[in-house]
Amino acid sequence: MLDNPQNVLVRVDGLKMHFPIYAGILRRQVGTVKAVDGLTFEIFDGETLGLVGESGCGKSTAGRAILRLYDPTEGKLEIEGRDISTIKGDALRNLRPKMQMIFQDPQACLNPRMTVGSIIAEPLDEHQAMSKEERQARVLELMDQVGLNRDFAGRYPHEFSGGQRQRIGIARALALNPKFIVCDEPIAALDVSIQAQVVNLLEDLQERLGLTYLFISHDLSMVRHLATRVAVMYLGRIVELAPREALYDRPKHPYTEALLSAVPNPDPETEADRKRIILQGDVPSPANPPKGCNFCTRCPKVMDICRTETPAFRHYGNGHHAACHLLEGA
Amino acid sequence: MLNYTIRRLLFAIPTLLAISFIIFIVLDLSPGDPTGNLPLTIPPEVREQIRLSLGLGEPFPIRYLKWCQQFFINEPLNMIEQWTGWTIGSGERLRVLSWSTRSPVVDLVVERMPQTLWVVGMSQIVAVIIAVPIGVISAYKQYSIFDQIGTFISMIGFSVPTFFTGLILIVIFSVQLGWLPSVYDTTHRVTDWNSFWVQVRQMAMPTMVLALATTAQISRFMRASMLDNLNQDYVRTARAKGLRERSVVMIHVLRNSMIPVVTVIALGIPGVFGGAIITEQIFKVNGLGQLLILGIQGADIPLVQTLTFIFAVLIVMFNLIADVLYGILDPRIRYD
Repeated sequence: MLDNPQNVLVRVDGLKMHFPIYAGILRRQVGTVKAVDGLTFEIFDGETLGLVGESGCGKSTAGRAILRLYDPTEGKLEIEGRDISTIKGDALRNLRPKMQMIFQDPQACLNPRMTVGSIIAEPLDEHQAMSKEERQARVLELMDQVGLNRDFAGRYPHEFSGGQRQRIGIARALALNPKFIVCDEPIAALDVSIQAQVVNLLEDLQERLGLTYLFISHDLSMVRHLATRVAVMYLGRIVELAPREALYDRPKHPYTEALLSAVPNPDPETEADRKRIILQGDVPSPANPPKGCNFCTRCPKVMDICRTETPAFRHYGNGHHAACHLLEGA
Repeated sequence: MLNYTIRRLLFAIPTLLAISFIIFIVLDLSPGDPTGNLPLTIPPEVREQIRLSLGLGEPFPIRYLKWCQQFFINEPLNMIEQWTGWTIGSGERLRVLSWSTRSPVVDLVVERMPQTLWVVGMSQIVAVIIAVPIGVISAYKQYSIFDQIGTFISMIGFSVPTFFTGLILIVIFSVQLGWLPSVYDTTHRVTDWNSFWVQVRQMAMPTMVLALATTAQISRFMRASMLDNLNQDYVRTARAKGLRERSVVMIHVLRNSMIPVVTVIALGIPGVFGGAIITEQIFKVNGLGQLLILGIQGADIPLVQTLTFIFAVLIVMFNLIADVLYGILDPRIRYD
């Protein structure tokens, strides 16, 4: 799948996304929600990087910040070698055709008052000089590509099923021939039979169009199926990043171990004696993360150093990165 | 949609009949004597004869049915005759007559309508033109200085009654500065630019007084509706498409936000026809609101009954129009 693994498409360096909390009569800032707190990774051309983690760990925020749908608090973002972390206005708008997003909720992310045809045509209108006929032809071509009936172009989003709506969302994202697509839990709102269809469609499109995905999900088996490399996030930070097999077979971080132990096994014999690591307690609030390692409040292998010092995110060979004090001594 | 509209129109008939009956009861029970304003020298027997001649001697159900016949049959036939020039039947039928002026109520309404539509209708138009941009900007820049000032002015518009703002404006612009006339001259005819300017000046104050109150309401609705939509996912999608911020706000957010606001505006239109009773009094605009007040003061029951009923019809109609508009503007709503 990887033609040239060293060809970096997207580079994220120390990305932080903090949201201010205002309170009181004068609405003074009383704190920040550290939704994303220092991400560093690279996405290679043509690969699928899976980004997993539980709800509220900052996956979606990270995805949006990388596409500059938010203004990041800190850090550097590069796409095709170009720094996009601070560009604004038209410069940013002109980069939109390169990077697109498929959203989680296909119902809410489509304007209810626009027909499917105009939803897909809108970015073409904005970014490409096309005649009416060319545009119409492109819309129909896109609908074919995602497996939507051409006759549906005049219908409104509410007249479709969830899976069809997600196809509309995909067609819209593809309209400008992007290189990089952030898929923000594109299958979470769909039922299982439709999930498979949409995932297959995404794979198929990647093969045909040479797309690069950042696939955000909390569904570990789906990520295993789709991703070439997987990053695990906990409370705004990446705890482990590794090629798929390495991560699923030899997880290094205790959080990844716990997460993987929760995945049911399709084989009933091995499933019967699958040992689940049950984490105690709740995820701390990102407005008030613990001192030291973010995972220290729930880690089954917690040490004294974890409560005082933040572990560094290091490379442990074969593209396996992790941030844990346990590994530092080894 | 057509079936729905027809069904609603049919349902409106019994509703309106019930309304007319209730209005009739209320007016009949209310104190007030149509001869009360006549000179005290008229002896009681004559007063009694006057009452009988007005039809007050009849029992209540007969009076109600007679009004129904006059309003629902005679008046429409009369209107058809006037428009087409035909003569239906003998052409002689009893119309709804005002007790105090002895002229047909419908003619009075037709006479008063233009002033009310000009002044009150213009205030609605001005209010919409001012309120929509204020609402949009306030929501887009929530908690900014502009938003705070807009909120403050809306609060004034909501809480200060028109009889107060009207008098303040008269004191400032008519008494102190002498720029604008304080009395609306109905006999004024617009024939050239000069007379048009006079018309604009005499309309300015009553229009602005009413517009302030309406602007406050609509701009708040607009702001709330915009805020609702600005946080929707499809707005993020629009930004991700790389649209200009202007298109994002004007096409995606504003069009979706207009749906509830349009219905609010539609529901406000019957109020335009109803006139603004207090404001018309202050500026001496002899519109429908003033007519209603005169009718109530003189216990002119046919006039009050007919006017109130016409307002009821308008309210029922514009409710229906608002519902139909909703269905047209929002493709998710299907009535059939």
